[in-house]
Amino acid sequence: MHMADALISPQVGAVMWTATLAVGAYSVKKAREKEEQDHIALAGILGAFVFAAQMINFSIPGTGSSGHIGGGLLLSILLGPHLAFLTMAAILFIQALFFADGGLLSYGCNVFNLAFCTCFVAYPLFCQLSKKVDKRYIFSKGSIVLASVIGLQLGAFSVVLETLFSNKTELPFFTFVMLMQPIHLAIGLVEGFITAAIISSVEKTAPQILSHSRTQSRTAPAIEKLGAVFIVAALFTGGILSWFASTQPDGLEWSIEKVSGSVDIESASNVHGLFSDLQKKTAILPDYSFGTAGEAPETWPKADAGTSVSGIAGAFFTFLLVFIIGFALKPKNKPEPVQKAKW
Amino acid sequence: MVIYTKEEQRFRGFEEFASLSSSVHRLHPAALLVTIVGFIIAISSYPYTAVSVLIPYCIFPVLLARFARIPLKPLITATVKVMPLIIMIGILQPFTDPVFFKVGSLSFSWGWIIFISLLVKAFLTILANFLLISILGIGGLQKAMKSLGIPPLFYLLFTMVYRYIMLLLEDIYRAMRAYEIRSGGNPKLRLQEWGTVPASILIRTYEQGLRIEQAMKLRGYDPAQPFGQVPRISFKDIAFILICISSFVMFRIFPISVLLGDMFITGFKALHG
Repeated sequence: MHMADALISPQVGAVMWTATLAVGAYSVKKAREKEEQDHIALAGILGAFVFAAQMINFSIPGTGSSGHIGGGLLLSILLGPHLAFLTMAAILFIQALFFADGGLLSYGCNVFNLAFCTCFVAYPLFCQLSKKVDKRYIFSKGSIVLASVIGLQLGAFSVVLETLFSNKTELPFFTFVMLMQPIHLAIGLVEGFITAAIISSVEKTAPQILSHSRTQSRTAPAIEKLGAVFIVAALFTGGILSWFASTQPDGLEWSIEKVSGSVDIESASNVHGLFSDLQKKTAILPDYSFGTAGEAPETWPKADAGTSVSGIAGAFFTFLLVFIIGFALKPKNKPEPVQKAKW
Repeated sequence: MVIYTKEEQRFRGFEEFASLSSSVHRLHPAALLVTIVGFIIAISSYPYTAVSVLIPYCIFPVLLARFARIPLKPLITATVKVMPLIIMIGILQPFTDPVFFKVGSLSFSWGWIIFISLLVKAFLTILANFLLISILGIGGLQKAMKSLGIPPLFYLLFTMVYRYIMLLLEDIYRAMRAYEIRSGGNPKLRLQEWGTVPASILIRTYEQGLRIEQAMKLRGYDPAQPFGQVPRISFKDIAFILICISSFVMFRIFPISVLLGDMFITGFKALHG
């Protein structure tokens, strides 16, 4: 469910980064207030556990496939939602940097989808459900599964919305939703059962570990509603921004319209002419040069055979140039590390 | 016996690149982080049908890697290995896009252009990502976050998760290998063991975490006073950011590849009358 940078527009990326920073700052503040920051080593090692436990394959009976551990809810139960959110954010940062599971621009989206939805939506839900059936163990397990499913469904739906608002693909909304939600329903169920199995096993063997989470469960959800409202507002604003941006062929045109009151500026001066030319070249694809086959809507740019050939030839020569520069700058001898790694 | 998982090899590979000495390695970590984020934003700002205009951006990772003296081949290989994820998403485009274009007498879906655009963007952004971590390493990244005002709690947590992953990967690998041997060669956990096996590792990990925490406190660790000195940003760092970002803006405004193509076509026409 990790989103790549290529799927995200800068507008959506910026909005989600803002939301992530806000929730991150709030979590740091809360962690400080509750003196959870003293458990930084514990959080670090449990975060590493969630990362490393991806190596464990859980056989799903009757299917032949395997499932993996889900991190957010498990960490929230063990550490409380604030520290769990920060730990998940750290895990996602490592996954983005070292394994390209996600990216730098889409990091805000991934933190929202995978950390916020589990730590600040699924976990409070689990707390609410657990409270009602306090001592009935079987329902407690059921609440973990339900919370896991809802958290993941929300995350998957966020992926759909973020991709659509980014306007980087042309997947129809319904097709995308129908692809994402059922798959993540199955994944959510498996992850929920795995989390429930682990928690119940820990509860039997080392109940003192979960005692911390018991106190958390009494206080967790109320304040999180504020966070949820904020994020929904951010998403809404971001969505409108992205939609607004996507309806304009180019930011330049929109800016010109705002400044001049009209999209069409007469090319009275050379500067206007130059900008007009540039805009034509950068608006969608400068080399929109293939003939449209009748079905293309009118909003699509008209084809021009000349520029397409220029584009393809230009791309080839630019690539060749990059290759030659790269080859010319290749170091003659293998560089030596400043300090040999100690392993 | 020493065990290396593929994740560990990836971490160690990047750490090794980060330990090299070059002019790029000597730049302020925040300058590099800001520039690479700028690069990714520039790439992502293109609409979904941009292809040829993205090619000039290839020069940035190539130059950065060459000046950092980092071999490009392993980074490109690592990038290509994660591309199937993007291919899985992008391959739907040609089949869902109802709009067609013609090349001669053949009609193609515009989805193919969107697909190629997605591939090029993904390749460039992932490569930039890998370059960032190859140059900075975990230490440089921590310094960059510190100088950008990120709260210490986050970047210390980030560093700790990273360090403990190395430890736990080996631990979990051993536990799973023991399980595999004892279960007659089955590497997957059966339903009745979904809880017990990971829980036993989790409890061990938790207790290890508590021990480390106590040891850190006994040695006077204070999360409010994070360690490490961050160098001050210098003129050359600012110059690096300005040159790179203005190049990205120039590439965004002037479609270099199209201009080159135009020159070629004009030259070709002039030669052949």
